[in-house]
Amino acid sequence: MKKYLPILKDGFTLLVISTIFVSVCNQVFKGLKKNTQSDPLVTAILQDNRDSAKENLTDATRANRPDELGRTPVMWAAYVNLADAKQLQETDGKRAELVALLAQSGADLNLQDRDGWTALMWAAWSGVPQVTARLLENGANLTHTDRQGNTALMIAVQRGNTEVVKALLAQGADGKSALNLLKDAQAKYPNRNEAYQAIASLLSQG
Amino acid sequence: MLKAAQNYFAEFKVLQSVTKEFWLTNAIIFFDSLAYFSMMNILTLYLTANCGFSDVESGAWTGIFSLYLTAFVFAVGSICDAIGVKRSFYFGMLMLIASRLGLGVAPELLKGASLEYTVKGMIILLALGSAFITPVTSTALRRFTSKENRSTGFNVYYLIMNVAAIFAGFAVTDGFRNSLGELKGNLAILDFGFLMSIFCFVCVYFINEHQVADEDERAPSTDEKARRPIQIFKEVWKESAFRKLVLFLALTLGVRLVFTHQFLVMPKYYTRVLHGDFDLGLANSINPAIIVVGLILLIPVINKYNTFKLIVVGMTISALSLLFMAVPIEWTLAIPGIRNLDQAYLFIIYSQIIVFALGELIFSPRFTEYISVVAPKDKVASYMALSALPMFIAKPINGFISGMLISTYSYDGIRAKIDTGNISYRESPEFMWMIYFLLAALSPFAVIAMKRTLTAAHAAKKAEEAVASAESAPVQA
Repeated sequence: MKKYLPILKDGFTLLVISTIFVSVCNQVFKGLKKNTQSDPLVTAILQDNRDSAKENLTDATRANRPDELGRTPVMWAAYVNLADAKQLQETDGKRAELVALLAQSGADLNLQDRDGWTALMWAAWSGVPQVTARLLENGANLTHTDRQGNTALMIAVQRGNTEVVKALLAQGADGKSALNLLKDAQAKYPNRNEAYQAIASLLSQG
Repeated sequence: MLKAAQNYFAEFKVLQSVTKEFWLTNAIIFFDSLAYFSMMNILTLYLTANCGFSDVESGAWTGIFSLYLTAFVFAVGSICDAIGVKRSFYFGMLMLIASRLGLGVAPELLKGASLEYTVKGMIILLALGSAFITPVTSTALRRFTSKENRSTGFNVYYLIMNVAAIFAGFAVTDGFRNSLGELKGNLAILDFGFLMSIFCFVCVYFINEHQVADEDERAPSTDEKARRPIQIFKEVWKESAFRKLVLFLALTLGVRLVFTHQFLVMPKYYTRVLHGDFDLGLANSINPAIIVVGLILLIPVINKYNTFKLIVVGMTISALSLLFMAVPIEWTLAIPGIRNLDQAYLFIIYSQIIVFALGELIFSPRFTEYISVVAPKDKVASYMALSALPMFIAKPINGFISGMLISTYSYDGIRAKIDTGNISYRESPEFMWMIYFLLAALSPFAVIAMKRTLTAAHAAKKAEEAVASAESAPVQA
């Protein structure tokens, strides 16, 4: 045991030094940024965990609490960034349930984040038609614009999200302003040409 | 080129005489590297997506993992000589088995504060277990190779580790994440790590540590390498050569830390400027792939050039690699053939990885050489061991900084805002990379500024060696 004692002593000393160093770093950096904690409700939403989300949804204030970028839990529920169509579809179904839950809990669906985005704009960008439908059913506004003057429909058109465009047009969104964006989007993303052609036909009908 | 490859592999013939213990050690290196690199590829993502840590916390805890790993490597270096290779392996593996399993199942069983503290505890245990592997494998390789095949043995070790890093990326990381999705994929990668640790444990069981190739290696090492780290530090800190070395290493941190960005910053950056199911493993496989090819084809050519010039050139190339990601994305979009943001981001990401790896290939081996040049002849190992000191301090700081920068400039959802023109350069991920670029660009300037000190030390050492060899040479009549 005697021969191990100096090694253990060194190990313990290094552990203590490291821990003190880490604690000092933690205090310094915590002071530099206001909010370093994550919101358990948002984590539950991003994990598509309905039970955990329900547990964290105590009242309407909780459902509308924004993060440092002004994003509310319902905006997080409307945001998905996946390229795989199958995974996106699965997530869309789960998130639609969460949006309904948040709406029932008193979430304001028309709040805007720092850039003026609403939950509907996030859904339009993400390409989640079921979430879009839930938001529209619960009174999401179609006419809000962001800092750059984009509406939810304009965002969905640029992204080539046909189903979302269809849902928004069905609710009476104005397709004229979005038509101009189509040409530019087609030139940038030729791989989405099929979607853009379908959108062009929807916009011309609408 | 072909000749260089033939020469590299021809060297492996000397390994025909090694024992099975040598190959078992390499199997351990392979399995453990698969587990380690695949875990590192997703650690920040796992902490955020599976455990609910914020960007700042996940960056900090990835940095803290590196800090404890470095600290424990110092501490356990001498354990191996005291308790033997096999027992050291067993200790390390048991900790790795427990921590990898713990990290893999904790988010399924726990939540809230209990999940948070369990994960933090497991990270510290994982650091301690991982800290055993490097010193124990190098001791094992030293013991299971003879003087004739030792350097080739270590070349094989380095090669196997890099090959495992390649597979850990595109095969393990992408394989699990693409087939199971992000949340289950991350857990499966950690569970895979647990399985790899069991394979390592089985390999350790079959090792006979008495199969030493050279009798000189049988007894515990009594050279300075085996002495205690704090004792060594107290001795060498008084020397001005060591303090100069620490200054040099600190000044070059900007470039050397870019390698840690691969695990700290890149996974979140990739998945946020592109998409959540981006093949980040493939991207992280490119660096070790270039290192493997470079080891075989380029190193023999590069070695012909002056050390100082290679450090400056290599660091400049590596620092410049960040410029791809630091310039406004509109500039990349102006390149003929690049039509949209997806293509622009893919272009800058892959260009950065390739150019950085080429620079790293040039400067990284020169660092070890430089340390051995400036160190007094009897203290090379001490200087080598303590050369990790600036990195030890920088890693956690880098972890905290990376978390803060990501949460400000590369937050989840930023791509939507970039797509719609809501993000100015000052708010963009490119600005974050500009900050990292400026830090990295300091390194080559610092090396140039210290040229006189560096080359003087080199020249003095060479002169000293020339005098020593002249004195010991037989006098010819």
